[in-house]
Amino acid sequence: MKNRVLKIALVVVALCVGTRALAWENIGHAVIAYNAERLLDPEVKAKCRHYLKASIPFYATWMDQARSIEPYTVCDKWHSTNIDAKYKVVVGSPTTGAYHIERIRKEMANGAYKTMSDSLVKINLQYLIHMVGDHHCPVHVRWSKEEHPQFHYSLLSNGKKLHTHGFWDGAIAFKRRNWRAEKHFDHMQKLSPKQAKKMQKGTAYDWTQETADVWRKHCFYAMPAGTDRAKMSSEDVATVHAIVDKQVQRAAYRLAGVLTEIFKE
Amino acid sequence: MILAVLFVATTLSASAWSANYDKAVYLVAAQNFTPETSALVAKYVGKDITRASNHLSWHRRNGRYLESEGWHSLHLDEKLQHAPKDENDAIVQIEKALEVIRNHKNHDKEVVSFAIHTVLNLMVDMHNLSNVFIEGVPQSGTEFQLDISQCSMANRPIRWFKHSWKKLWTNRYQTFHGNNVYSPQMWSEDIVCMWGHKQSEFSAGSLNDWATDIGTYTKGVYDRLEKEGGRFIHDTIQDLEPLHMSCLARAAYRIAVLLNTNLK
Repeated sequence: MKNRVLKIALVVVALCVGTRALAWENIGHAVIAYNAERLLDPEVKAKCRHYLKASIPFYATWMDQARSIEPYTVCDKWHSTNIDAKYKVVVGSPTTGAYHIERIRKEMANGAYKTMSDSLVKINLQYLIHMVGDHHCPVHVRWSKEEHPQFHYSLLSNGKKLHTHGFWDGAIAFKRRNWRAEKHFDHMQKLSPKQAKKMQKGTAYDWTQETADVWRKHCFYAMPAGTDRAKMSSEDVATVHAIVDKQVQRAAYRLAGVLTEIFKE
Repeated sequence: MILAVLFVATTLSASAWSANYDKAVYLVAAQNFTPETSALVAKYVGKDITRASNHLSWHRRNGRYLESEGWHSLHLDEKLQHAPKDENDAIVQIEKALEVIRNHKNHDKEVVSFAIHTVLNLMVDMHNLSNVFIEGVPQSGTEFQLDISQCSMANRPIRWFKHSWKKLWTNRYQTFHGNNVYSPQMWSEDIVCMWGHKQSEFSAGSLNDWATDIGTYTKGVYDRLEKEGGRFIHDTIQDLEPLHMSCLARAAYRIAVLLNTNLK
């Protein structure tokens, strides 16, 4: 018991100190986008809604829905980013999401969005809303099977095989089936402006590196191969929640930061 | 288990959209009530208007107002004019309820409450395509199966799934957005964001005009389904979501007009 409590505490502390930091299924994306919108100041929120003609969470899952539809099949690979043999994020590859987060940030920066058509601003926002969330999902860092075979394994659900990707994608709602987005927002630890600014620093590559580290240092140990999610102790569930909650917080604050950086006058 | 399945089946058949959508419509409608209407709705329905969702179904589950089972649908002729065959029609029942609402001071509170709930429930229901029967359109209003394609990875063959028409219109979009995590309040904000600019247009006209409007967009979707060979590919479903949202907006703004005009 003591060891488990210690384990949770260590994970929480490690995540809070946060060297470097988890697709979230529809629920997780909606929560991250909702939380981000709640963090925005009214001016930025209004601009986002003006271009989207909807709320930010409404488009949280659009990229998942559009990935098989032309002309958006091009973004099929943008939901994750590769990690190399030395556990380092691959920088500069146009087949990765981090590349496109940074590309869009640069293209829209310093008021440049004003020179774009409304439809281009809208589509760029739809990409950002989803991709920033994706790059905080621990299973959305791409570990090649050849270089990192240890990270390709299965979990169990009531004795049946469950892919680890499937578990972590849905982890935000794990044991929280009736939570509304509002409850998730209330549950999220809020940061002071100074703390928020610190968390929002860096590039999508830094954030992806952090997510990769969270996977390799925490998720991998919190849910080792063969763990049956139906038979987890409450302490182990709490460990998973600590990991996921931190990643959701990071994703929400960073998405809010990216949108603020684009639209704040 | 069997009872649970039967319960779900009954609920589905009796209501139009999921409760989240119903509640979202009521929230938007309430934002557009006059202060007088707000006060009277609070008096007869309660302070939380979202609790009116599925009120008729709730009564039936408790053995009351069993005749209301047939009230949820809307009947149109081939020219898309309102053409009820009997009392089992949303507009017929809404008009009866409005008569009570206009004379609310002369009725018992329970009677008025039921009438307002009837307007709230049926106005939402009749805007749902799957509740609309059009003369000469054999599939309309029925629970037919259609093939839909599932979102998949790019460059993979389309996978087809049997789906029910009603479920497509009732639940599918909600699933896209995270099911119950997406709250009624969130849906209500999206209704306003997307269709608030059309409020005046949607609000104009009479119940019969609205019936024709509903028939027009319903027929449009059926024509498209026929043109596409009885199958909806994933991007068609995506394409139809703004229309889906506009149905909710139409219902919301029209409820506001009806109650603002009749509940005084």
